[in-house]
Amino acid sequence: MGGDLRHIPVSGLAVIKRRLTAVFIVAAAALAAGGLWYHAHFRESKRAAAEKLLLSIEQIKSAELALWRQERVSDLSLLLDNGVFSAYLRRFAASPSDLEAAGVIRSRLRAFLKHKNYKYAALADAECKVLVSAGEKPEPMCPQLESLVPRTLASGRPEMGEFYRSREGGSFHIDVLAQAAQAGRGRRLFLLLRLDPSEYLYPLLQTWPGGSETGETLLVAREGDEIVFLNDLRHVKDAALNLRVPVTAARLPAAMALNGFSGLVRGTDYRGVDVLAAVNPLPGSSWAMVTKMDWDEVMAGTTRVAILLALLGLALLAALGAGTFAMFRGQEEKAGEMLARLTEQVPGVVYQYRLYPDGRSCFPYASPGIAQIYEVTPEQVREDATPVFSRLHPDDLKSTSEAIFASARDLSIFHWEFRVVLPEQGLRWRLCDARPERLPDGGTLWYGIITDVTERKRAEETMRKLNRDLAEKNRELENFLYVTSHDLRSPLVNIQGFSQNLVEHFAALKAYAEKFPGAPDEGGSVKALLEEKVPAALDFITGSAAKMDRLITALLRLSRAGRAAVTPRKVDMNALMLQVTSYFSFRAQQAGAELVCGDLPPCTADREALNQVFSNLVENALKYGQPGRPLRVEISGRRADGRSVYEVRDNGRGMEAAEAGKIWQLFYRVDPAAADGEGVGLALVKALAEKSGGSVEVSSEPGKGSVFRLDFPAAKDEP
Amino acid sequence: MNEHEPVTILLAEDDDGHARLVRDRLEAAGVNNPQLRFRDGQEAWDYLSRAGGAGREPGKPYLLLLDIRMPRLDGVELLRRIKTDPGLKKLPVIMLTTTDDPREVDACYELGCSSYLTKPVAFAEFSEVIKRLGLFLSVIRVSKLSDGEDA
Repeated sequence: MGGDLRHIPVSGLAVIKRRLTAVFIVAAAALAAGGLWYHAHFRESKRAAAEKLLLSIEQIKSAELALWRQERVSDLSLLLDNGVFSAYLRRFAASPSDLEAAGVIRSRLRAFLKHKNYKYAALADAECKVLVSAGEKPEPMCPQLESLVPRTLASGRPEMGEFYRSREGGSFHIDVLAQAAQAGRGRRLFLLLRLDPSEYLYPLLQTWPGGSETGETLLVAREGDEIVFLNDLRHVKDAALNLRVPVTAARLPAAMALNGFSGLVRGTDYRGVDVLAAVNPLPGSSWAMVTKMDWDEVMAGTTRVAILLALLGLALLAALGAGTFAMFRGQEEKAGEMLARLTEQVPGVVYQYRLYPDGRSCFPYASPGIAQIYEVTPEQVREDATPVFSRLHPDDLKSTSEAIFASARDLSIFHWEFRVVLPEQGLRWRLCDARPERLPDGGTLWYGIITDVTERKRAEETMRKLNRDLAEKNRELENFLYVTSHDLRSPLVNIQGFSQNLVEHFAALKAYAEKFPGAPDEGGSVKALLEEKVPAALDFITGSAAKMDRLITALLRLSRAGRAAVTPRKVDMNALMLQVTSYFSFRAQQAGAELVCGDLPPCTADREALNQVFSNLVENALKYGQPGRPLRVEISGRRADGRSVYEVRDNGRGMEAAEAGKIWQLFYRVDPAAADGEGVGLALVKALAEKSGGSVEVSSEPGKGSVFRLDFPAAKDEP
Repeated sequence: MNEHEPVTILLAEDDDGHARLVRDRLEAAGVNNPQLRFRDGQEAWDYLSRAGGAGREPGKPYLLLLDIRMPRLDGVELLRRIKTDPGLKKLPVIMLTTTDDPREVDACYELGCSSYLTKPVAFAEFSEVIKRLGLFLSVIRVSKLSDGEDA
């Protein structure tokens, strides 16, 4: 394929391109929307799963914690519910110096510590002075007991204290306190069980069902304006009771929990990390529990999924784009192939020609035929049309440029014949037809075709020459006819004139001879001369001369018809025929013939020529009637296909087909004996009809009659 | 000037036979005027245009019978010259022709010929014309031709 088809604005292709682009955009948008929706949905489900997990963990933990607290309280209750132990306690309460009772109590407490998970047990008075203790080592009482004692007294049941971390030791404890006995005048004994949260409570809190990188449960309590973290944290060492955060930290889940909120929250934890948390104030305590997980972990994998989705989307888009592009290229190639096939079939070149506002020009597209038309390749002229203009005939260069500019100026169809001089083919004629379009840059773009019209031009030239020759020959012939007719006449005048003289002179001689009837006349030869031979000879001479005179007259008429100028115009045939029929009405009457004329359409011809044509035909018909049958001559006419057709029909004697072919010949006569004439009339009819742009033909049947059919251009609607 | 001075008949005719026939017919019609014959248009023009000497005599009446088709100078051209010559344009001219081509006839009348005769000059017809001509010649005063003199 020669040209670059991208330059061809096939309107169908543009439509396909638009449609395919629209399809691609819609598909891409759908794909992106689907991806985004899927991603959002995926994140949502991840979040829901995390929330469910957090809530359930929180539920379990708080239940476990509540249970743990309850168990601690019941441990103390069970210990005190023992009757023997209670009796010793009462004894000891009544008498602090009862060493036996103290010993029993101590051993009981030791036994208890052995079975239970407490680090220390003690019996103390209301002033928190330790009276009896058991445990690994003696433990100092802590300040919080002072608040725990009244609480215990108020509730009448065991109470659990707060987490406490001693300043020196660094160990944690939680105390459970209950009134153990009361003796006389208000002396009260309190039993204290001290446990280490890191042994049981912290593991309980810290265990996390299933693996999690960031999940943790923590206990918090409020202390003044601060939030205290009660347990060790996953992310901060030694946090328990050390880490404190102002209660005003708005996004802190722990703060929300301590403010009484229960449920799922999104917030920022003690590290400043975005987290999802289930928060819940623990009933029956001043604690709140926070079960949380880093938001990043909740959404872990969603970024990967998002990337995967994006990649998948991109891949799909790329595939779609490639498919669309392939489809378009396919269409384009199809169109290109079709164009190529079409242009291969077109004789010459199909092209685009572009004229820039600055006068430069080029052929953005040219079919391979340009090699034959200009002997250049499409590539040679794609950017610059100069190679083509160098092929133009020097005499046609200027006029061609002017025609191009005129077409560009008026946006008129460029129809131009011009000559080229080609290296191989030499001088050739080209015909160019192109339609211009204005371009946005002010330039002009033509779509056109150039064909080789050399043969036609040569044929036209030949035809013109032939026509000239023919016209010349015709003139010569007519002139010849005219001159000969005149020159033939000259001797004929002598023959006629002197034979008349002879007739006169002979008459004088005869009159003279008759004066001498007795003159010797051997064998009567003089008498024969006078009476018969000379008059007969003179008759033949004058008869023949007269005949020759008529022939020459006829010839002159014919030549005159040939030379006469015809002026075709609209002829009212009804008026003309009225004139013709009235001219012949007397003769028709004499011949006993009927002359009928129908309604005739007008035609375009020379009126005088038509007059002679129809007069000759009518005259002819009146001459050759069939003996014994009344003659009828009928003239009719009709319109047919832009022509006016007339018929002159008679029921005369008719003729054989062989004769019908000869009647147009000059001097030909079917039956010379039947009527006078020189055999010129029909030759004249034919000459005049044809000269007037018409034609005439005859059909005839011997004994039946003849039909002369004439055909002239129909009248145009003009005066 | 003589009122009864016979008109001289000039005949320009290349064909001897025709010239003889014309003379015969004139004779038969009783026209005895002096006659002069020229063999072609040029000869006739030489005679007419050369006043005095070998040419025509000024002051004498003439009548020209003029054939159309002649060698050298044809009748139509001669007629044109005569009718555009101030001294000759009053000369009566009768055209003689072998055809009755209407265009030829019209052309001659346009140029100013007086009459028109078609050969072959049948006796009766020709005699008739000549008789009328003779009457015309004898009764009507034919303008005399003279150089520069006009009516």
